[in-house]
Amino acid sequence: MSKVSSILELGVRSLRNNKRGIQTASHNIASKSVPGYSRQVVDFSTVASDDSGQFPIGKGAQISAVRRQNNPYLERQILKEQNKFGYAEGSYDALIRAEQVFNQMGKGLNESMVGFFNAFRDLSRHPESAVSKTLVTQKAEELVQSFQQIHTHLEEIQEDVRFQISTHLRDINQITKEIVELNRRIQAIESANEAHIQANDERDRRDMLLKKLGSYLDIRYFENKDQVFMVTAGKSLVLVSGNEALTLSSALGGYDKKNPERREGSLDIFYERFKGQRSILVTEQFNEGGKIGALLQMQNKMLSSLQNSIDDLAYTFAKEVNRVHQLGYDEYHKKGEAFFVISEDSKEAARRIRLNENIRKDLKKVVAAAQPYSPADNRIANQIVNLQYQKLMKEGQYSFGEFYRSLMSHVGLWTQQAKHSLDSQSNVLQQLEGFRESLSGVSVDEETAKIIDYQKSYEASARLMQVANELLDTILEIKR
Amino acid sequence: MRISDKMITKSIITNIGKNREHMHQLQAQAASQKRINKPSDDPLGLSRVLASRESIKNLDQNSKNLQYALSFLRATDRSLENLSEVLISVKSVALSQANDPTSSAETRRMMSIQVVQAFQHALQIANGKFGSRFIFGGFKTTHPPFDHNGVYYGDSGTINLSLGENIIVPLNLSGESVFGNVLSDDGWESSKKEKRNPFERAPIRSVFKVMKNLEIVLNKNDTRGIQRTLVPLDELITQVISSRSQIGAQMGRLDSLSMEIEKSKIDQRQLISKTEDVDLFDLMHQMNTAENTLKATLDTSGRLVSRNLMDFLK
Repeated sequence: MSKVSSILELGVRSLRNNKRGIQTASHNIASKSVPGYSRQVVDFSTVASDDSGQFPIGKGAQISAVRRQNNPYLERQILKEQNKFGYAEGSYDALIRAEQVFNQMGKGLNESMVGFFNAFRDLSRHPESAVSKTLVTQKAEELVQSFQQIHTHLEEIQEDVRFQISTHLRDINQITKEIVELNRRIQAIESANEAHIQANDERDRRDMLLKKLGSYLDIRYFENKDQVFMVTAGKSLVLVSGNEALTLSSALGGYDKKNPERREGSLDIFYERFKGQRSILVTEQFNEGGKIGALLQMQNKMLSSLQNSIDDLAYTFAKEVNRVHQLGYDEYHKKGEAFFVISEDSKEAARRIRLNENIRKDLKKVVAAAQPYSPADNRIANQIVNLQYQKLMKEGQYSFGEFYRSLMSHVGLWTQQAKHSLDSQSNVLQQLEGFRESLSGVSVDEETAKIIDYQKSYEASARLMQVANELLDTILEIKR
Repeated sequence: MRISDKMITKSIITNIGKNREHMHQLQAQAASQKRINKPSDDPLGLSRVLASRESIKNLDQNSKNLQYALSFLRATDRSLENLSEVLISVKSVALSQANDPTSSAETRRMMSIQVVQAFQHALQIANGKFGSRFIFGGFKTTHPPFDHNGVYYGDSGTINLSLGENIIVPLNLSGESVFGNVLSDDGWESSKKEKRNPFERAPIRSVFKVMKNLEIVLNKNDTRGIQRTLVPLDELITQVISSRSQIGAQMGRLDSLSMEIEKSKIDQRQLISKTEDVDLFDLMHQMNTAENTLKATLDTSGRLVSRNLMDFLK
């Protein structure tokens, strides 16, 4: 029980500690660019002193912990803001595309409607002329095409939104699977040892995955003292519990009474509780926030309401023109046929609207006159022209042009607001992430300084061991 | 505050990104010379711009119709002027052959041939065309409205043109309102001298009937008959004058409407420009500022990333 050997022990421990310190500092430098990495710090504490002699003799230092510099409260805050950012981003991306629909400066629906009415003004000047009637059918075809183009464009955006929903769900499933795996590893590492070993890298990765998950949807997470970890989505859906994760999927949804205006082909979110069992509808857990929430809002509310409004416009336009057209007489002295072909209600009207085939093929069926055998009678043509001024949309509040322009303004305003929201969220997130970086981020200068420090201590410890060795030799030599 | 390496990189990327985004916006404005390149740039402004554009297109079309209306009315007016001359010359024939001592059965027979020619001329005027349209047919503009006897086969339709919201303008006068009805008017002065309300419209006399009567009485050498055509001829001349003044008033209204339309177009164009067009000087200034900002950011960023402790260890 020579004190000399305890010096050796101290030296060995000191070497190990410093080596560990250098290892940790190197790990920090190497992992600098790993997303979500928190720098690790080695905590030293003194070993219990030897109180057996007259005075307590210190026995050197030991590593009490290798822990990460990390503020869990800040992590939760960042998660919340990521969630809001995801929502803003999801909304903005979809709206930017929606406003493109209304952005065709020269060829939009507005221009087509004006062209249509001006063709009838031409016709009213010369109802006897075949040229005027040709112009009318041409402009009518352009109008039909404009409606169909808008429909197609909006439908494409909807399809993109749906595609994004299913892709993101796949990403979410991957993330939750990985979280389950990490849970297992963390539990294994941390409960196996008596000492307070922390599974630092795994926890970092799990934190990062949680933040990513949080950008997609509203989540809350809890960990109990046995490292059992749970994640809930929305208000009450348990997404991850201990070693199990739900697999989410998307599929065509039916009528949703909370979102009555949503269109056919809309997606709902499901999960399968047990293999082979019927899938359970959980869309409303995802409605509120995050990217998925934004996409669902776009699908169910904003884009749908745009599509419905355009359908409404097409339907009412065609109905009114038909009504007036059928009051008059064509060149065959027969009552006018319906000018446009539409179905009974406004569903899909923008897609279905067509110019009456009979009128397209036979110009003589274009009606301008209010009575038969009156070649220069332009009274019906004048009435159709007048439809441009009348407030026929939205219960007498808007004319056709005004209605379209107000739709366009709405989309512009929504987009503007989404941009502002996105910008301000981005700033908040940046600030918070700045705080996180300040605490947990790696500074190469710092780590380098630490390495130099540890290296010097290592050299000193080695030197110490050499001295202890010499002491031992000296003692042994006494007994020769 | 402790600054980690990543913070520096991140802030460089973010700041440069912000500068570039701003420059990108300014470039879009410079390229299009418009403040508004998509609805979210100025939703309400764009709505106003589109409304003005629609207005201008409507005004252009109305202008076209208005010019047509003016031409049509001018053609109508010319026809009426010719008709007036025909009637005046016929009246002077009647006057000379009614009382003049130089007239005789011989002269009267010769004059009746002149009246027949005048009849034909009036018929020509009545079946006059503007473009492909018969002017005096009402709605029936595709066939000559009057037959060789002066019987009217047209209708009384008024062709109205819409030249703006609530601006409806009649284009034509129907044949009957100008030339009268051969079948319902006997062509002679009314024998009953009843008191007619002077504000009531006088009944329309038939041009052709009166002229036919004159032709007949000239042939028959009936001086009393000739005298009896004088008052109807006067009435006819007054009739044409009244039609002409109607047309004239209409043309005046259209002239001032035309000026209003032009003025409206200018106003709308100004509104569009004010809302939509970019202020070039302001834009250039902003672009310069943005460019300088970007340069400064790039410069300072460069300085930040260059050195760390490793460089100074031996």
